Amino acid sequence: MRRRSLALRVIGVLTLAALIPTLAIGTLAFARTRADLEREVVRGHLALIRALGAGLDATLQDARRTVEIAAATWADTRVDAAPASELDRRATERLLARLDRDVPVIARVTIVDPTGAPVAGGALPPGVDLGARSFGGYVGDAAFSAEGAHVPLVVQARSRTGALVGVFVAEIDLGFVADALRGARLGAGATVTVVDGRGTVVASTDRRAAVGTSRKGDVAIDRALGAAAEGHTSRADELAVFRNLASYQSLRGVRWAIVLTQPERDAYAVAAATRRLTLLVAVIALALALAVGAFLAARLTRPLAALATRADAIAHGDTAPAPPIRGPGEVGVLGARIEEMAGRIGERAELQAALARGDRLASVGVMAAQVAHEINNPLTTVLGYAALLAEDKPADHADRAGLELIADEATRMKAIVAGLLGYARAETDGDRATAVAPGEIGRLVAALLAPAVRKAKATLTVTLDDAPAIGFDGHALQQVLVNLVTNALHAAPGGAITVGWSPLPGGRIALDVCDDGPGVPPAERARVFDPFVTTKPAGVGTGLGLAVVRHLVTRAGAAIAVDDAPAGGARFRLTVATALVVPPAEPP
Amino acid sequence: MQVRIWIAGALALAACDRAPRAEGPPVRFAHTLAPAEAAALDELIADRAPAVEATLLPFSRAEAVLGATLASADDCPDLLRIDATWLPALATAGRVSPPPPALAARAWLSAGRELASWDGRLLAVPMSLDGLVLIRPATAAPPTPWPPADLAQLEAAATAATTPGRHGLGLRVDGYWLVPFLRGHGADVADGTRGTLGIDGAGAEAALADLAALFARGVVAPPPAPGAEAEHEAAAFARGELAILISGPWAYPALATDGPDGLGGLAIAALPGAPRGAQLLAVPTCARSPERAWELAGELTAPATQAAWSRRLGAVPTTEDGLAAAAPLARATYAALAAARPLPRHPLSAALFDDLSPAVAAVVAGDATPAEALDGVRRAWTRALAAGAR
Repeated sequence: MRRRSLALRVIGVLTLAALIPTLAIGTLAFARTRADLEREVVRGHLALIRALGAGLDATLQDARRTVEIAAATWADTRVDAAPASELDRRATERLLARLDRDVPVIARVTIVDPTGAPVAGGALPPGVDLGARSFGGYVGDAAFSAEGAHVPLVVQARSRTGALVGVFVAEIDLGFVADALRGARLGAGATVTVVDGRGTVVASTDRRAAVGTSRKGDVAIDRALGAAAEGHTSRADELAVFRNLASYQSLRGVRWAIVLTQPERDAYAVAAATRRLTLLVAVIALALALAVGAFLAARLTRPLAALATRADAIAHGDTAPAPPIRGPGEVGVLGARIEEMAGRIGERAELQAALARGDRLASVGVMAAQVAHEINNPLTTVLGYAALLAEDKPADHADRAGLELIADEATRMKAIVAGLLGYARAETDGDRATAVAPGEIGRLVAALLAPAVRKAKATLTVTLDDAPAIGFDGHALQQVLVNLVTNALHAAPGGAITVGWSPLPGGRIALDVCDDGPGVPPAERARVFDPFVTTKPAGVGTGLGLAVVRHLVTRAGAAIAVDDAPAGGARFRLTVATALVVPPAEPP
Repeated sequence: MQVRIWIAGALALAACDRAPRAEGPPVRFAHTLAPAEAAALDELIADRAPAVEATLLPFSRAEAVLGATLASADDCPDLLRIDATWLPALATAGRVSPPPPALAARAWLSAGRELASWDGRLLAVPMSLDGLVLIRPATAAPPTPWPPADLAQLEAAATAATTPGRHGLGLRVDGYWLVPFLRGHGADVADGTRGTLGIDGAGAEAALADLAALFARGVVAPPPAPGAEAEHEAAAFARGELAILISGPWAYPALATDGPDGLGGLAIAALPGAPRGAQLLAVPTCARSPERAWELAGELTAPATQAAWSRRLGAVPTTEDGLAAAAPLARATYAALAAARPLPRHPLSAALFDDLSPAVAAVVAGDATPAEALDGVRRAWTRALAAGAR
């Protein structure tokens, strides 16, 4: 669970490492891109209406200058308060005719005196004053009629001394505004509208905004008329960019506004496409980052998981050598070190077991030697006297059976003492491992144990003649085989006992002693080689035979183990290396 | 940046001062603010409730348009921002109503209270003070003598400061700029209250001749095309082509630099004989929501707002607290205007310049002599006074 948690945490960390910068940078880029693109859209629209407004203003100013020059020229010919002569009237009519002919945007010019009385061109249009307190003139609000939209241009006519002589009122045909708007290159869904100071439409490319209708109340129009310069607003999914024409014109009094509107869907189409693309790229990049992160996390944690599994096995005693766990960098080093540690732990455990076993065997050996030394002599005496006493008694004497029993038991005790002495010798004898032919030893053992085999009504089959020579002391091997066969006779009286061999890899062979008895339970197999441990009935065996076997085998560098025989019963297998040199056969 | 912080703070204070008010129809505010002032107003009213529907009236046409609008009572605004010279005409016609007592009792500076009153009654509240002052770059060495005690010293200082590539003085070819010269020669504009023309004597002709001579000698920079005066003088001032500029607080945003204490970089001095004026907030009698209008007027003239506008725009406050917290430039302007005098308080005063300005232009251009030009002005003013009397 912890291992999975580690992997998940690594993936989590990598995910966060990918998510945080992606989200932060993505959000910033997203917001900046949106803001930048929208700002550029507004700037573009503003540039367009500035250009349009500048064109409209230039036309108005041209008309104003023309009228101002005409008014100044006319005023210079007049004398304040003097009645106009016939000559003056004709000159005035020619002047008005030239204005009408040469300035197309001027629809009509009216001249009045400082009191407002008509001088030429008819009566003063309604709603127009003489420009008092207006710094000499102004442009009024648009007027609408069946003939179209017009706007009054009022210019005071002053003589060279500055004295007010009259007032020129020119009606400007606003058709030029509509012409200018029609010529504008607008984006998809965009419309441009020009309104006068009251919010009345002067011209528009929007068919819904008819000339002469009021747009007062429209947020963009109201803001445009209230603004000092220019700006933009968004409402109802529509972008509106506006500019107050009064902010740059020099005609005092004009307060028109020009407004460009466009659905946000069209205005920010490029921005929306860029946002979608940015989002797509971000999602793909994030997915790739997560996939790569998961892959790297799995690669990083897999050796760690294997290390954890290996550590668990070592903790449960599995110190058998295993290939070191490979991994990048420190993980690989850790795997190698763990295997080294496992090896050392195993060696130490084996050493501790061997030491414990060695101590016990050494103690048994010493004790056996002392017991054998102390018991053997009195036992010989007991045996001798028992035999003498028995020989002196007739066969039917009442004591003869008891004396013979004493002699038999004494004989049995001497056998035990001999076994103890053998164990003691095995413990104390030096390493005398030499090359020996198992076949020779096998025949000797068969001969030695023939009486015991017969007595046990068992059969013993030894097939070691073709076995290769092995590195083992001959006497030790004889003792080993005698003990193993004797053990088999005790375990399976009347059974079949076989002694054979088989080759093993690595220059070793196996010498097997098998019986058809009940076998050794698996739980007992690890301790049957310990001294005084036996599974046989009381009075059968000394409990030292297998201990002597293991001691001799271990000292010879070989191994002994017990398992089940192929035909049932027990199989004691001696694994031993073959000898490099076979000793020459003794002469017959 | 510092100015923006001050303004934000002032707006926040103003917002804190305001009690929660109910939503309602927008307050219709017709004003004549300059572009920079209009931008500051837009920020102030952006999130205000009830909303403010601001309408910009060109200064040159505002008096005529307002006169016609208020006379017809059609589409009547709730609050007006007007020049102080327009108040007598509106008050005489009964077009404006007095402010509520609480607002009238505010600690207005006497200069503002005087111009917001007519016939002894406070009929508007002063928003800012203005008038003509002498402006020069603060970093430049002052001309000698400085500050000039009279018109002669000013002409001497300007003459001394005139060098190749630099004019000693900058002013507009406009009747309003002629007023100090008229007063310096014992003349003045017509006073309707006393029935005097002010330009009867030789002093007026001398004043006009004096002014024209400054142009002719190159002491004063040549006049730009009509309508482009502000941009022209700001550009010339920035290039160092003008040693001294005669103008008012309305020109500061284009002339001054943005500093930690607000607009700066300008040295202000009194112009001898200068006219002094004010911009007022008035509520017409035809207003639909006079209470809300006066409420907005109170906010626009709150000391904190005035102090903020003084830093951002150089506007001269009209309240004692506003002046105390104002930017140094605004306080210097207030001090320079201390000796200035208002134009005659009469309904015709604003209209006098319709004829005076063309006369000044004719003389400066050399089209007419001062006597010829002033003859026409006298005839026009006589007609106007006669019409006014009727």
